[in-house]
Amino acid sequence: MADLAVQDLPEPSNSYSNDLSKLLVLINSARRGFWAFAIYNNVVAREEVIETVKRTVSPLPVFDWTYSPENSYPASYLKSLTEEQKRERAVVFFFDLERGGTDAWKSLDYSRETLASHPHALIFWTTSKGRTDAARKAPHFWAQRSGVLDFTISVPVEQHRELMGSWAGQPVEVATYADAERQLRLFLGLLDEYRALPDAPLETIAQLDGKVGWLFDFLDRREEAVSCLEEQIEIARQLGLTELEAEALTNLAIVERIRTGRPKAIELLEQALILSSFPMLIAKIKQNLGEVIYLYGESDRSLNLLNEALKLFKQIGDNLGQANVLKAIGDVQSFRDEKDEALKSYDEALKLFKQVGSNLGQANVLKAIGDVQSFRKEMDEALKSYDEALKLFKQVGDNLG
Amino acid sequence: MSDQIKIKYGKPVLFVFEGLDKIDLGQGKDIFIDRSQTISGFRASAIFLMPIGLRYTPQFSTVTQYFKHYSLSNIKLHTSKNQPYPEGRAKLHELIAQRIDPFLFAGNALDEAITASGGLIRTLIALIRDAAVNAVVRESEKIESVDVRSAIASLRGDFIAMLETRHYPILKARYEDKNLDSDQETQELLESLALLEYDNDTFWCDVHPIVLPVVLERTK
Repeated sequence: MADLAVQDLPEPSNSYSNDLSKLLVLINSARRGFWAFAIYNNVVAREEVIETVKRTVSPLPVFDWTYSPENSYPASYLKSLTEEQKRERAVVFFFDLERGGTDAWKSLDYSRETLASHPHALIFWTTSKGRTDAARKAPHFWAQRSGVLDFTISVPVEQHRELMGSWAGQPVEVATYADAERQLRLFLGLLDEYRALPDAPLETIAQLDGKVGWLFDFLDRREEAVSCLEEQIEIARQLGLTELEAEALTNLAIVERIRTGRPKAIELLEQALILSSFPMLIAKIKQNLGEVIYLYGESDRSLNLLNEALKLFKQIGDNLGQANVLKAIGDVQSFRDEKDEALKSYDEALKLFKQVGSNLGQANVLKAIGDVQSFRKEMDEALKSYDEALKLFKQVGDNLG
Repeated sequence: MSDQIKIKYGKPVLFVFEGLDKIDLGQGKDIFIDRSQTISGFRASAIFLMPIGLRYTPQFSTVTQYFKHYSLSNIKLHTSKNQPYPEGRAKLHELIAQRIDPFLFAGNALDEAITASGGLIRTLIALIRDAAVNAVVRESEKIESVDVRSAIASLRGDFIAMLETRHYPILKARYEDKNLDSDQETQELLESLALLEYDNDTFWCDVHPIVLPVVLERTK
């Protein structure tokens, strides 16, 4: 990449511009690996810095690593890189390590030489508490840091809350797994900030719990999803928000369906159906109930529920909802050995997924079409469908798919 | 294995065990004190890095029975009696001159960095690196005092974040008596580098110069 000149740096927009300049100088000057700690007290400001860095260092590749119980040691970022990427310069942002506790920090001491052996700029995002933890729990790694950059901001409380509110109100929009991880990081950070407020607004916390729970589930982190959704249900009950409770019960049912099995999911969905009077939520509940019960021999009731859901999504004009239901109808028809009808439903679902631009939806339908074709011994067609599905799963970053 | 290597290559074998200095003191005791006989039983030479805190434990005499030990102390800039030690300062000047052209430092910038380092090479290099980044951000061709002072302030912030209230009176006491001992807090402070260890005729310690103003301020 071309060397950065100081005049090329972004316009200083706030109190941390000097530390942003230092970080960019470090990234630009270091030819060998180094690490630095970036301290933040506001996730919105953190995301702003990250976007600025990504824009400024381009075309240098930038990778993200986020702590999770399944992926708890920072050195594991290397596993996701190709041999060439390991040898080339890159920036790697590490998030949420402080959620991992002592073992995660201590692993930095033990993997220090590994982390130093690649020409990567490793930037560890932490709060002030995380900085203290890093210094105490990973003293050998900490001692070799190339800098501690301060991106904490000091803004009037009201302005801060307004900013948090506008970010917390953003919808969850996921096109790839990387999107999901980025949004999870943001909403989890906001959740921490809201929880730390002396007069924490419970409804906002519950809304964020729902978003975080959904994202955890999307990323197959189901235990954490359940914990957030249970908190959401508890707050909704406390505040008497029945629609929110119904929505949380529905989302919890979706998680429990895979985690603990169908009976728990059916119980939760039936509770949600009693509570809700919103057409969109009712459609979602009926869709999920329909998807669950057909495997219990109730395929007629399942198709009735799915058709009711389809009608509601049509009335609302929700194409993604319709696409999901048509896929589910196709699954039930395929289960009943009504393969022609199933293919027809899948085709309709595919068109709608294309229309709304959902690659994951298209991939799932193409796989289902491939399964029907394979069942009918139409192997060439099946291979073609699986191939298309595989390409789309790769685009989305869904390794399981 | 070492016997096979000796037979095949006809040369003595040396094992170097790196990274064992990073383990916790408890694990260090497990390895170097409880199993000192086992790990010193190689039919080959071996170098182990061990946690520095072990040296101040009452059981360290067990280690000395099995191992010859060496300590890499910091380079002192003054004696335990607070007398200047110019040889140490000269050594650090020489070390820096091998890494960076002294012409790149303006005025007293390098001397200020050396004084602030307390003779700890790691701190000195970190200060100079930070100061260099500060100079680049200022679009200056030389590292000036202002850059070094900003780097010192940043490093002081790291110490403040790391130290607990209970540490300050201990640091004040060590500043006054320079005595090293094996108590838990002193070990913690040595590990965090808020206390630096030196030796001449005897081992002694002092508070890291960067943290000293905060210690004096908070123990008034």
